[in-house]
Amino acid sequence: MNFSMVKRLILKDWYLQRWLILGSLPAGAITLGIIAIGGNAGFFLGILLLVTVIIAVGGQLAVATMVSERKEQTLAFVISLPISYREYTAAKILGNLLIFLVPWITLVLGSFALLMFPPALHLGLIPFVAIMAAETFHLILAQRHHDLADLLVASKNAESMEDDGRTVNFKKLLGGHTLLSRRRHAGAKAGSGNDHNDLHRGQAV
Amino acid sequence: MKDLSVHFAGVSKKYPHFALENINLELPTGSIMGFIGANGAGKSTTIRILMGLVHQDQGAVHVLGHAMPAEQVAAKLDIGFVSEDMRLYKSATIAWHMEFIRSIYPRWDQSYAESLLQRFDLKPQQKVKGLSHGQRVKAALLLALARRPRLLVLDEPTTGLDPVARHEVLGELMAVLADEERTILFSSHNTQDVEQISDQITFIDRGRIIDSDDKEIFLDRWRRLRLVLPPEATLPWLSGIVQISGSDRLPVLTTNSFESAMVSACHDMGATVQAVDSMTLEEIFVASVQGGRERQTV
Repeated sequence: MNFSMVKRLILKDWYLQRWLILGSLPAGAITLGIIAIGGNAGFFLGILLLVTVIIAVGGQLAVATMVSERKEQTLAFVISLPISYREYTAAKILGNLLIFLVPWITLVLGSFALLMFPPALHLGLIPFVAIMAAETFHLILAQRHHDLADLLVASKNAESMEDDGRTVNFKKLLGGHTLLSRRRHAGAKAGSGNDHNDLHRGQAV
Repeated sequence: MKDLSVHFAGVSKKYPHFALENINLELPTGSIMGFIGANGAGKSTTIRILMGLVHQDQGAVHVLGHAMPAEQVAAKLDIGFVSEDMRLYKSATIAWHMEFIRSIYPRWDQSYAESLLQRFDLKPQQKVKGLSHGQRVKAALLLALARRPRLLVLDEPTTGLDPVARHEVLGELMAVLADEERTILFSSHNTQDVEQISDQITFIDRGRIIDSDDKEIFLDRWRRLRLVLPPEATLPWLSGIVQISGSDRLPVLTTNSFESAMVSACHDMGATVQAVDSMTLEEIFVASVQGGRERQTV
């Protein structure tokens, strides 16, 4: 694995998506402000908007870095560089994860700070916020898996798919060197545009 | 033994509605090959296999001494690739693309890149989304040339360009010919472009290589013979005739293996040879494709 190339591709995606990420931070700050000052109605509205911002950023990031790369025909440019599909895919998985962590961590820490500092009216909600944060992260990871399945089929790297043709075998894909190789989440069906309902029907293998 | 930059041996690739069959191709180092085919003939598939972007079902591919697709990373370090359907990142500037490519290729030549910027009239701070099609092709060509590749692969780079942009792109390609170590594979369905810059010609049609040779030999061996036959005489049989057109009395024979002995053979059989016309590459290409398709049908 050429880690130097993987790093460059991640930095490229970070550069190209920087406005999306930086834009999500003020949007998240506004939702935290609504939670802080808005009473009960403001609290629920703020939480709803916060979750929406996190999911929207995650979804948009996947679309911008994976789907658009194919749609806007920049994939040929990247793949003509000295990388293999395996390195390209590794860069997409790691890059999306790392880039998404920036707004996710910032907004989750902001939420906890809001709940913990005076006036500490919402301490009982910390477990709820923690579960919500974990669940949005989980959902976004599942979406990555789904997009990756589409990407692999498009990139003629379908040998890295599971036998069911619906999910990604990370162990095959990354040559057995990944923490993700023992975990499978979503039942995404590559090439189908109507499989969002499958996101939580995954199984551990 | 020839020093080959590209070597295809018995390469096949099957798709549901298209198959590339038994492709054998040799591109000697330092030469410029024009790879000509109609739309859907298999040019891009062949080039994608060459780049390791598509895996062949059968056969062996070696590019700059590397087996493809297994050693594609090493091979692609020395390849500059520009394709008609390849796009740069719209939201980034030309300067960002240059910096990105420079960080990957150790042989990146910054001063050459800057001279190409001037020659192509490109501004480094321009965003790609504001470029015309011609400027986008020039930017892609700049990124490919300034990395100083040993092999330049151009997949229909002049398609959709206006005459001025096409002239500039071809002019720059002519200029890089000065470097004898540079090998170029230039695919196009525009025979004029190919004729201008290539020294080797390969025709592909329906997934098969139908002819491949040195350009001068190619142009030399293809001729059109205009005959006049006396009444009730039959057309003489000659080997190497790929097409017969015209009327019974005034036939026009197209040959892909012309020799002066053909003219005397026609005279001996009572025919008058009115003219022996040389052919343009486009005429040769059309005759090759039609001849090949007729043979396939038979």
